[in-house]
This record gives sequence, structure tokens and C-alpha cells, in this order.
Amino acid sequence: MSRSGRDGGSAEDGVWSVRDQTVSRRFVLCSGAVAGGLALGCFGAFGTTADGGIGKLAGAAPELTGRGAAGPWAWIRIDRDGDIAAYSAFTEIGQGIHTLVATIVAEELEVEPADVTVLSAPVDPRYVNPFFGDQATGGSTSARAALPALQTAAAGVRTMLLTAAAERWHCPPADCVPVGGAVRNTGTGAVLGYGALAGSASRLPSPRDVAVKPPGAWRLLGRPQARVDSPAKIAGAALYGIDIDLPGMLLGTVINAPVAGGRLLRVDAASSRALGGDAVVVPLDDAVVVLAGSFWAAERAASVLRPDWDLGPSAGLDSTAISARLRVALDGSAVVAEVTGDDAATAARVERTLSLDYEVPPLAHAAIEPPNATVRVTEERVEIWAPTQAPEAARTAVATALARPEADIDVETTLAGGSFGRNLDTRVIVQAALAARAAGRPVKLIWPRAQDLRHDTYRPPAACRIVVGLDRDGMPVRWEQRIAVPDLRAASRPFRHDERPPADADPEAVEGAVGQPYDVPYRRIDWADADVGLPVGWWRSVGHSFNAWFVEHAIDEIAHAAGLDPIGLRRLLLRAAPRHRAVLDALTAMWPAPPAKGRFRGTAVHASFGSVVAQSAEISVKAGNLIVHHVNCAVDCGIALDPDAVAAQMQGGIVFGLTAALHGSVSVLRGQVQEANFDACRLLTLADSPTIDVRIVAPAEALQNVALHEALQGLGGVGEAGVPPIAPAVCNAVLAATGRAVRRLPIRLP
Amino acid sequence: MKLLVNGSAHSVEAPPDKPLLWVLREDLALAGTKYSCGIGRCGACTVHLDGVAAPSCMLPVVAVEGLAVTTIEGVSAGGPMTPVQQAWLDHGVSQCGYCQPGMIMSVLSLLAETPRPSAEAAAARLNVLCRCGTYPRVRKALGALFGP
Repeated sequence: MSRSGRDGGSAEDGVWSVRDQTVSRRFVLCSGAVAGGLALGCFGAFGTTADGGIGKLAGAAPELTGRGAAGPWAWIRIDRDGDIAAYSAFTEIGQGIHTLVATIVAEELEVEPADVTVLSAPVDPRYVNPFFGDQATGGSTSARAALPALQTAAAGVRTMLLTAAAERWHCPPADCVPVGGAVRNTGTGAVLGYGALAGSASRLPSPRDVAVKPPGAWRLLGRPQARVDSPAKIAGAALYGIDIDLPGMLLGTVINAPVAGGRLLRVDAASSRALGGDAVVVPLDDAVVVLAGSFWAAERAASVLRPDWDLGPSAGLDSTAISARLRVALDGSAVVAEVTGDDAATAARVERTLSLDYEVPPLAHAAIEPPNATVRVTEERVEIWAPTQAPEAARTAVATALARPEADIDVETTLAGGSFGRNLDTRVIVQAALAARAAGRPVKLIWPRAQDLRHDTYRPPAACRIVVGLDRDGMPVRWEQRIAVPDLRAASRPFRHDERPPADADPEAVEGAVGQPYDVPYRRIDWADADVGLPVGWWRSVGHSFNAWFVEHAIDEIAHAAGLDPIGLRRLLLRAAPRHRAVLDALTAMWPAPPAKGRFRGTAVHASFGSVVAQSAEISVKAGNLIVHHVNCAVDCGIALDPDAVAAQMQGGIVFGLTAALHGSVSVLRGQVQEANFDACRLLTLADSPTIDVRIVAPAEALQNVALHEALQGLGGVGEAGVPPIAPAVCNAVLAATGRAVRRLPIRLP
Repeated sequence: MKLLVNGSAHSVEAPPDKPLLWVLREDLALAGTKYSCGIGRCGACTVHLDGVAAPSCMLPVVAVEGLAVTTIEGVSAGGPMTPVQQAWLDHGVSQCGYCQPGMIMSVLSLLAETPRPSAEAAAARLNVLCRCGTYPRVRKALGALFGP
């Protein structure tokens, strides 16, 4: 990015706060001139909201000098021809964050979302995700993290453009109003485009006091928007990581060590040359990369290689052993994650005890775009293009692998063809970098589907035992739950044989099990670390993906055992959880009539990522065949910034969760994952997918009376929250239909 | 080798057994057709051969000599959007979008059949896998295109 003009007022910039201190957003606005236009950034120092929604401070106070002063830190840029660009620190993985970024900026600048070009932000401390303290996309945080900074920056840009216009016209600032990408003088009727004002605006000091629009004045936010990326996507013109094309580039494929934790001993490259091609074989510690002029040629060359491997410690692992390890962990030592209530007093009230065991398998992400990365290594720079969710981690990993300073490394985040946590894994990027250095040419490395599915960072397998004590009315008075699942805090180092047991519970292992909304007098949640010998990672909705199933299927089992209506039991137990109850009420209202003969329904409600979601599935069972006909979904995500995007994420989450509940499993034999493609790793098809209705509990009209800080505090994530309730909803319907609970996923009817 | 792609004749130097998908992507710079499974299962690589949808990831390029190949880039090149693309926009189908070129190519082919299948029959035959779960909206778009 070229720079001209002076850095606007950065030295005088102080810390500026939104007027509404309860949000405790503290931002530094910093502006500068970029090629005759205006660039404005806004960063850092997110405080905590009242409900703890935004966690960490985003590092130290930003420096306002040097490379960052008017350069790559900008959130918004207006060029002299009036083009508006916004930088997204969040990867567009299908969730629609680029559209939301465009909408937030368009809202404040009084233009349309399609007028805003969304660019991917470079790796820079100013783009750190305040929820993580790391520049990454995940945890359904993007909307919640993007809104405050972008709103503020966009309002700052508007303020500067209006001020520049007022100075130009020597008129009171109040006479200047933004209209359609221009400023209009209400006194004279004169109009100046944003582009014509950008240069002079960039020479103004950055504003200290900007007014962000209150929700009641929103024109775009809170209303359904057409996605800004759809036209390119349906025309085949959208650029994904796999579409990057550099001059002189080689195409690569990989053979990873067949067993995770294995090492390459030797590989004889001569066999691939026998094919007569120009393939280059790059041996790595735990993989072989094969490069050629085309991906197909690289694949063909790789297919004849017979590398020798040290298969490592997991060579004897199989699915039975993984289950056994989970059960051993379930019976072994554990860490207390949560205890509430009176142990002794409740024990005395127990008339009947239920002991409920559940187990879930490891799962692959199976994004439709396979992992890939393109890297060019020169003496000056290392340039990376990748559909990554973790550009900062990728930069760090490549810096380490190539022994290059991070400052030499640029990461351009592309569109991702799905991801669901898959592209938090940076191995493909490191391999591409090592191969590019070895070949002395740019490399695009694509993991073929079999390598993707067999070398994923899997949704961890997990086992759970819930011991419920019922009183004489059949009401649960004790809930003791033990969960055995690998420690996701160690996800980057899956083989840890020498470590002491962790002292405290992995929050992601027990998320959705702790903090249950149900009013049960005594509750204890234990977590047992289980080393399953398989690389694990973050998979859409993470710990909620299994804990919601454990808890919500158990609730129906309790109701079944006590002869109570499952929804009625929930209503009783939710006496102290009005938000859950309201969502449940909204859901049940969607299905006023009982199911037809032969149809059965099951319901589940679960809070995750700041949202509460309830779902009901209607099923039938014919000749041992389970058919899911329809799903209703009610969601309270606080303010729905884009109701259509919320509905899309609920629908998508339901389909994703249904694939797991009905088909999802990764099996291991002799240390090797068996499923190599979509024939064995089944995904739900259109023909098998149910119809889905989504109701958003807080309607757009509610915006009228909401203060900005209230809107922000109530904001829940939606990218993952639609996944957790569907497995228990379907299993609860199976229980209603067959009288039998489901003990392990995927569902297999007798 | 002579290929007819999107109405233009191309001379391609590629091994005859190189799959059409990779010839399109690598030799003709038509990246809209996507690689995903490589076994003709997911439909992301669907193109038209003489107007009929077919996966291109396992199809030797030599097999399409003499056939008119149409890719997503060719269905509305320079002209108005196809009705399928318009229906996709109207119903806000796309999420990550990666499978969408293949899906749109498949639906265009179904729409061109005589007699035209019902929406339900079209849904049953649309085997393109979408991991984002756009299926409910695909159904609505098919309803609009194919009628009840």
C-alpha cells in the first residue's frame, strides 16, 4: 500500500470512548492519507461488557508511529475516486462476515453494503480478535468483535468527511449531511463526493468524539441484507485459496505419515521420475510433498512413491482402543469443573438413581474446499495466500519452520470454501512454505481429499456418564456428570505421554455441561483428560457439540423414566432461566398441532456462544430407517444484526449437526483413519435433508428502544449455536418413537 | 488437442488422460469449476458436456474432444444471469459458495430437460454436496424454478 501525505494527527490522538461507558469500549482512532485518499483505523483496548462477553484486552496500547501509522492497520479506506474499502480481520468461511463488515460500514457512511469493498486484513496486532488475544476467526466471535471497532471507525470517517466539507464550504457542520456516498450542504444544495473530500479529510486530526448510530436509527443493521459475495460466488468468479495462481508456480500434493505422530525415514524419488514427469519430491519430517507442473501430475507422481515411515506411538491404535481409553479415563482420576448445591441434603432425598452413559466418535470437518496454501519465498519476503482461520498462528508457524523473522512474512487470507475449524490447522501452510523454499519456486500445495480426511484435527471423541438422583416425584435433585475427552488446550501437541494430569478443567471440554440452566439442587461436573492418540481440534461448536447431546438427551431420559412430558419437565427446571424458557415457548408455538400418526417429535434447548437455541425434530422410523422430516428452530441471539444471516446459520448448523448425528464417524484401524473420501465419510444430501423453519425470538422492532450498549451486550454468536441442539432433538424423537435412548452417535437403530 | 469450451476453440497441450477439471483450472485458467473429492462424488466439479451435467474430476480430457464443454464462467458470459443464478440470489442460497458452481451447473441441466422434472424430482437428483447446509434454501430456489 503506497503512502503519501502526512500522518494525520496521530501524535495528538488520545483515548476516545463511546459515550456510553457501560460498554467500556476504549478505542484509539488514527487517521492518515493513503494515495490521496483517507484511511482510518480504530483499534484495541476492548473492555469487558457487563456479562463478560468480551474478554481480554487486545494487547498493549497501540503504537501510533512507524509502519502502522497510516498503513496496513486501517479498518476503512476511502480513495480519491470515492471507492470505499473495509478491512475484515475475520475470514469469510461462509458465515457471511464480509457482508456484515460491509453493512456496518455502509450503515455509518450512509451508503449501501454493495458499495463497500471488503478486503482481508494483514496480520497485525491491531486486528487481534479481542476474544482470543490472537488474530483468528472462530468461537462465533466475528460479529461481536467486528461491530464495535468498525462502527467506531466508520463513524469517525463520516465525521471527518463532514468536517472537511464544512471547512470547504465555510458552513456550520450541522448543515452537512451524508447522502449516497457524498456530502450535501443543506443550506446551498451543493454536493461533494466522498472521494473529493477524502484528501482534505485525511489532513484533519482524528476525531475524539464521534457519534455511533443508535440501533433505533439503523437503516441496514437488523434487517436482512443480500450477501455482498454472492454474485461472484454464483458466477464462479470468487477467489478461494485453491484458486491462487502465481507466475512460475508449482502445484503440490502431500503424503502425510499414515499414522499421526509418525516420521519419514526415507523416500526414493527415483520411482516418481520413472513416470517421465518433472516431479520434485520434497521430504519433510512427517510428510512427503510432491511438486509438478500440475496437481494431477503431482498426484500421479505421488501415487508411485513408497516412503518408509516410522509409524510412531499410535501405530497400534484402533477405534476399539479409543473407546477403551475413554472408558478408562471415565473411571480414572478427574478434575472438578463445577459443584453447586448441598451434597448431603440432596443425597437424602434420592428415591431412584439413573446412570446414563454416552459416547461420541471423532469427527472430520470435511469442508468442501480441501486444505491448501500458496507460498512464495524470496530473500526479502515470505508471501502466503491461504483460506486460513488463523493467519497469525500461520505466520508464527512459518517463521519458525523457515527460521525467518515474522516481520518478513505476509499472510493474505482468501475466501474459504467452508472450514468449520478445519483451517485453524496450519500444517498445510508450513508444508507449502518448506516446499517453496526447497524448490526455489512458488508452490501451491493442495491436500487431496484422502489426506484431508485422514489427517484432520478431529472433533475429539468423548464419553460421558451422568448419574441422576430423582426424588419421590421423579424430579431430578442430583446431577453428577463426568466427561472424558482430550484436553483441547493441548490440541497443538497431541502426543503428550510424559505430562502430569492438568490441574484444572479444560473449559472447552466442559462447555455446555457447566452452567446448565436447569434448577437441580445439587450438580457436580467432572472432567477426565483422555489421551486418545489422535490429533484433535476445534470443530464447529467444539465442546457444545457433545455436551449438549449428553445433557439434553439425559433430560428426556429422565422425563421418560419419571413418566413426565419432556418439554413440561424442562419448563419446570428452567424456572430460573427465563431466556431459555422464552426460546422454548417460541419453539413450541411453531408446532401448535400434535404430530400425525407415525411421526414423533423431540426437542432440545441449549445455550452456546452467547445465544440460546431450541430445536424440535419430527421423525419417522420405517423398517429401521430413520427419516428426519422437519426441524423447527427458535433462536435468541440478542440483536439479530442480519436476520437472514442468522437464519442461514441456524439452517446450516442443523444440517451440519444432522450429518454428525446420522452419519458422522471416523474409524481408526492400525493407527490409520479409514475414511478417505465422501463415499465412506457420508455427508447429508439435499434429498435427505429436512425442511427447516427458523424463528428469531427478538424481533427487529425491539431495536427501536434499545441503547447501543444493550444491543452489544446481548449480542450472541450464531455460526456455531445452531449445531448443538439438533443431535439431542433427533435422539429425543427416537426415544419417543422407540422407547429406547441412544447411547452413542451416530444413531444406529436396532 | 482441440477443445471447445464456453463457445471458443482452444488448443491445449496436455496429456490425454489429464482430467478435464485440471485442464480447465490449470491450462485454461477457468477456476470456477472446483476440486473437492476427486472421485466424482461431490459434484463441485460439474460442467456441461453438450448441455448435460457431468463431473469433470475423473474425466480424461481426450474424452471431451468434439463435445461442447460449458463451465460456470460460460453460462452467462457477458449476458444476463441465468434464471438459476437469479433464483440463487433471490433465495440467498450461497454461504461459503464453493459447491455453488457445481450446483448451479447441475440445476441448469435439470431445468433444460424435457419434460421438466418437478421440484421434488429435481431435488432428489441434485447430488451436489454442500457442507454449509444451504439445502433448505436450495429447496426453495428449486421450488421457484421448477414449480410444484
